[in-house]
Amino acid sequence: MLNINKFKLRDYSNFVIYIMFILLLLLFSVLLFDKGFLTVNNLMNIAKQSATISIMAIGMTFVLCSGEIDLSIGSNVSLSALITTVLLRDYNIYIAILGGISIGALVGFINGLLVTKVKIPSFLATLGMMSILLGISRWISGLKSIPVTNKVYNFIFGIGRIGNISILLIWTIVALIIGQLVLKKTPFGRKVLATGGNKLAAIYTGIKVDRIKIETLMISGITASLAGMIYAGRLQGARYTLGGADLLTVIAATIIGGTSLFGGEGTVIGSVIGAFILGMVNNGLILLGLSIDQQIIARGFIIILAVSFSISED
Amino acid sequence: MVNLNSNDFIIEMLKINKTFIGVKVLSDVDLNLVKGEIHGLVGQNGAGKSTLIKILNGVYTSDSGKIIINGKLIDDNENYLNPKQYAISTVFQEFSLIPSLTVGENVFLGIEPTKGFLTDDKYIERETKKILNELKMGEDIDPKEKIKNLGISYCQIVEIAKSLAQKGEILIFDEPTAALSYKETELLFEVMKRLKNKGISIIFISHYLDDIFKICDRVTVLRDGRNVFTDYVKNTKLNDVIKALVGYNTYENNYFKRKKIDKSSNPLLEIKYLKNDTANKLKDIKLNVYKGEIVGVAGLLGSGKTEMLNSIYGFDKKCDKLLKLDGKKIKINSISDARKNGIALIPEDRKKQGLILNFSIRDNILLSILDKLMNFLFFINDTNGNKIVNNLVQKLKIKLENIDQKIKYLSGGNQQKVIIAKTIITNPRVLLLDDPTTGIDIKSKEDIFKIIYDFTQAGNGVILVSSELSELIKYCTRILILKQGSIKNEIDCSGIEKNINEEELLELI
Repeated sequence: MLNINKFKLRDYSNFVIYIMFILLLLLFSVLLFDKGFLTVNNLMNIAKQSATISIMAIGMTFVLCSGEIDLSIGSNVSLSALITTVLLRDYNIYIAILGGISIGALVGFINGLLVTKVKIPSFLATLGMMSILLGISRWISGLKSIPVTNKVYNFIFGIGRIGNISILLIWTIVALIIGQLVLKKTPFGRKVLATGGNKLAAIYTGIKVDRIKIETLMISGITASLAGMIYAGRLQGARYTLGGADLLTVIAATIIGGTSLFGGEGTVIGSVIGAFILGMVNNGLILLGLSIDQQIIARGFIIILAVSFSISED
Repeated sequence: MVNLNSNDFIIEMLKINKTFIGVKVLSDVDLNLVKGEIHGLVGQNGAGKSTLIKILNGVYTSDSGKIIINGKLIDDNENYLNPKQYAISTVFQEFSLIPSLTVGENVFLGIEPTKGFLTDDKYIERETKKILNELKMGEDIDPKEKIKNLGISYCQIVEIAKSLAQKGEILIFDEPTAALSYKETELLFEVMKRLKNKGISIIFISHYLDDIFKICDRVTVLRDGRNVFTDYVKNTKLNDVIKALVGYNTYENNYFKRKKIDKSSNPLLEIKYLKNDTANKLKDIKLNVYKGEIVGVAGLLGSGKTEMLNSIYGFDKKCDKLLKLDGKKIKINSISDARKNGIALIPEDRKKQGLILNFSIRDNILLSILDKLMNFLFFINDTNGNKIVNNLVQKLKIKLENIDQKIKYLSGGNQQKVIIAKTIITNPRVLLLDDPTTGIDIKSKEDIFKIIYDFTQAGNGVILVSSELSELIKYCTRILILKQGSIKNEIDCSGIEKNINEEELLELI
């Protein structure tokens, strides 16, 4: 039956993610109606919780679409957050923001060189980078947290509101719009998809695939550092443990959003919705009164289920 | 034909038919193999050799016909033939050896003898040595050596040893000499003779007619899916085989008129020298392409045809070259250099090198001019893009439902047209074509050559590599013969209707 409807299924798989999102929203709304799931406050909470994952998932979408992967984002988060907070303490907000972003970009650039010039598979290059960055974070922080007292910084990257809307939701929406336009509307985005879709054909067409791969890994590095800065603003401090559990959540969100693990296919909007689905599930499971252990198990099941829906068999 | 009796045959294939998606690939083909003979099988690309062999290998089934192996009738056409059951073994062009394993481990792959739970390495070593000794190669090849450390001809010997260990009595050699040097070929022939003396029967597929005459007892020629010739080699002349290969079909005249090429002005592209020492060696290639010219390159597998184009195009970077375009020296160190200088290539493998299969037709075509389509917001200008694509689709007669259809659903001929479309919108001066018509229908072929011809008439040039000789003869103003990395011969066809036929060309190769 699957084979007969293959053509239809292919089109339909683009919408699966939206359908899944709406169904989950409805399900939790009904189940958790009296626990306040559907209140503006709670929904805004979900959006705030999902911001960092969403932003990193956008970067990961570019990397996966180009046929590579970036495992270093988790420890990139904590390093960028720490560097930013240190610079904030010792200098000023401008240098802090610039420094944080530069660290992410630099990490991505080095990852890119390792993948394209030294020819180490990205899985291994970024795995090594993950460990190196974590070590540096532990070392420079001495395992202590560094607080953020700068009010302006905390407003921009964490607790600010514009009207009723959290600044984190605004960050997410801005990143989403830029990411989606870059991937789908610009020559660069098209080249990213071509590189991941068929590297050899892209080379023969004259696309500089090495450069494309370095650039996507830099995007991923920058989004990771932005996520790190948001963590620092939201928690009003940074610690080496920040982002430690995020890597797999980000990959799950991206795959649920319909991006292919093998390159050439993906949408930024899908990844963000994937992140929101996972955020919603987290929130729902807590409201359901599950213990942390039960939450973790349930989350695993839901990730497997969601991915099985969104991966289109070819 | 010679009188042979059914009892002499180890394999008898009778009236084999095979059709693929409405195209008849084999029609009533007979092929028989006498026990202990070396039987040559020749035919042009698409003549049906591989299909016939794949039926023997159990890759395909025949639609109708009888196969008798060792007196046993395999009558059920529904079932794939199990080659192991009938002791048939094929030595493939691409070796099926695992580089990281030893000679012995490869020879006994899948049939490892065991001692308890472990493989019996001593036995493997001893038996491999024994087989290699039988082939008189025991001195040269160590069973404990890893495959990756062996030269290509020794790998082939190991393949043969593997077939023997798997108790092969009928060996099929698929173009075994294509990648071998003269000396290595001699070595292989020695081994084949020893196999023959052991009573092993061999089918030997080759494009090299010299080889056929050197080693085979009988030869069969396939053309357009029919057996057009079978006889003893000793009763056959080279010319008989060539005639059978080519047939007598004459080519109808069409729009195409070979014009006299004006060689008084500067050549469009001048290759002063081109050398490449890696893999397939290119030695000092010199070549000029004039405006309006289609320069054909003929050569066998391994002659360096593809490597030559890749080296000009900057895909293969390890080469030493001096190029001039319109009399001006150009530097090409990368593909983007080549593109900037107006040199474009249409690669050999449509799906692997030419197309992004999950992209739409439109996105595939526009891929080569993305940067030019960028507007002030850094976005791709879709309106312009669609206009360009729709124009090309009409001009090149690409058959499609709509331009947003995924390219993978198009036919081979239309896919190739898309590749040509995406290449010519970059306005190249010189187009390098690597076997642009393999596996596509006749109508599309004609269309494609019309496009190429129009392209040259606008003052551009083409280098056309093709394994189809009729194509070279029909369309080229000059044909170069490439042999082991150097140009051995040049045939000028400009201004003449036709002054060479396929037989003559085949003999030159």
